[in-house]
Amino acid sequence: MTGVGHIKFLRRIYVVFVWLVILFVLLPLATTIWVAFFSNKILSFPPEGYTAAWFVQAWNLVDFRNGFILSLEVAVSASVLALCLGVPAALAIGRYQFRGRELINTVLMSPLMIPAIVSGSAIYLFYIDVQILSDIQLAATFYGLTLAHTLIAIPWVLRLLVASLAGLNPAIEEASLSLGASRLVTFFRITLPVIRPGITAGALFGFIASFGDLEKSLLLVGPGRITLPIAMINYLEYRTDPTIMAVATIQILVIATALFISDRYVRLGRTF
Amino acid sequence: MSKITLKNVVKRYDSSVAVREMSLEIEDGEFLALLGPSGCGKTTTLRMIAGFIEVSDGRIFFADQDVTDLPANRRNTGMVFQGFALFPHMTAAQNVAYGLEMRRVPKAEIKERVAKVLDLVQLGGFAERMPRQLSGGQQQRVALARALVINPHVLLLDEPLSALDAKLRHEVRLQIRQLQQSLGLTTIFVTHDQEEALSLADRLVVMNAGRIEQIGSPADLYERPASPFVADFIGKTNFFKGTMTGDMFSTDFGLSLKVAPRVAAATLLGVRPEKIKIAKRSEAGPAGQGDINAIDGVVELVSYLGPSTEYCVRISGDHRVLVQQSNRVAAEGLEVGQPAVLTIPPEWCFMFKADANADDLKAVRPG
Repeated sequence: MTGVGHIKFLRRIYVVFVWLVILFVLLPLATTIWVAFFSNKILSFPPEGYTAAWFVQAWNLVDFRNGFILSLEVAVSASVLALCLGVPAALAIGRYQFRGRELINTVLMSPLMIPAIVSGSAIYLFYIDVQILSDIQLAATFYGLTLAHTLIAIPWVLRLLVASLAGLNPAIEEASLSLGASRLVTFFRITLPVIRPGITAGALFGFIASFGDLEKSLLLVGPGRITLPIAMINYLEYRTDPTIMAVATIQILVIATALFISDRYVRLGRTF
Repeated sequence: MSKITLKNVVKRYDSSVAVREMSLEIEDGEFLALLGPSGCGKTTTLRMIAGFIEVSDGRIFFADQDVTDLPANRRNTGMVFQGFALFPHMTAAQNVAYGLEMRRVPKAEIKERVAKVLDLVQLGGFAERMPRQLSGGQQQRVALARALVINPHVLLLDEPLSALDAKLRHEVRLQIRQLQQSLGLTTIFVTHDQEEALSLADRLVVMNAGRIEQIGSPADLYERPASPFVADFIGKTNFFKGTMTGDMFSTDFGLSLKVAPRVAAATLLGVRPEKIKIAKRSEAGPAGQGDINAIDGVVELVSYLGPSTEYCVRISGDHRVLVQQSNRVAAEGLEVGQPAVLTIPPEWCFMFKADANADDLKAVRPG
């Protein structure tokens, strides 16, 4: 093979490889959505026909309905809480040098690095300790669950916001001051609007992290309550009809929408 | 519009002093340039006047008001930053209106004043553009308009032209000067570009390592530099070390030059390239006793600059002298390798007494 031909060949292999990877990632998603519309009573191939009945069935099942609603409530609450804590943290870490800065950054980002079942168990044990010492019950409560989900939402807010802040020219805040604005006015009229894309993306990613969480919820949700991922696992234990695919499709749709919206605010390709 | 006064202003950081006992009076309506190399303290001084940096010692006055303890947002200064610092999420008009909004000016008046000032900087049709849709020069003018519209006590410009390309820089600096003169606004302009400073300022302050080296008009600083640093920083200067006897200066490599300013104990002589006359040796004849300060040399480098030509001439002792000659006198063009005669007029010699700084000077090198 000539030199140039050699390179062209390698390039073609590379392109094929990339397509294989894309398929590897997309095929499960595409299959899930496809099978959700099969009319087969048991998960099987080929499709006997098509129907949207499984989606209706999913909504009629109490567990799925309640799970969806609770997952939504917890995810929204967790991302809001993560914003309240994460935005000031990001502002401090992203702009100032102070003692302990690296440590605080690492601690806040750590939930991303610890396996979920490990952190879930640790939080559960911690809640039990708290209950023993102070009689405040956190395990098996909505608040305890939300707090745990906030822990995994904060790293996303922090990471996306610090990246957004890096692109903020500090001189514009000085310009605002020199024109007569107080620090508070400067924050709301200048800083916040400029970092809003980062905040929005952070909140949406926090939402996604919470919505899809299984392990922490398993340990902390308590009797009588259920989240969507838990409902899905339970269902699979005794049924294998396309209802589960319908539920999975809904979940994919929710997360895809969140990703799509955040992409409009922060060019995700730059952040990672 | 105000007179600005600095009294013994000092700025100390943990390990260094950025500005040492600086006292300065800037007249109402004056255009003052703070000039110096990086790290000399000029930007620190400007930012202390603006209120972004706290003064370690000393006081700052706008007219009779002591503003030293006033925060930046209460000083009514108009500042133009190095990268323009326009608010990216607002239109040009909104950017300009911001300062007026902070002053609670009624909406109708804001609209009128914004339109007027945008016209003044010739951006009349650009009010609704976002900063990212504007060129560098246009952003610069919006930044200027934003600072002017609030009728500040003083206009502070922090190297406003350094983000622009060379040709634009020249145009914009003229516009800034015209504007400033027509408005009579007290202005402080920080730059490291001495050509900019010379062409724009009523007075220049040359700073070095936190100290003022010299204050004066552009001509004062150029024709009568107070120190070797100023002579070297503003324009170019050839330096010779040596000793003074009567009215003759003997350089340490054997030249004897008659000088007009008699400074006893002078150890450094400086002369500007354009003050030295250069001629082909064959025409003038070899340097004889009758010629005052005639020196033999050989042309090493010729740089054609357009309006003038610069020669690097090697003289006795392997020293090099930079000579600049206007190209109006076309007949004198010399070539590399040609023998030449240099004449140094006694009255244009700068004489300096030795101090610790004399050794920090760069020797004049080719190019």
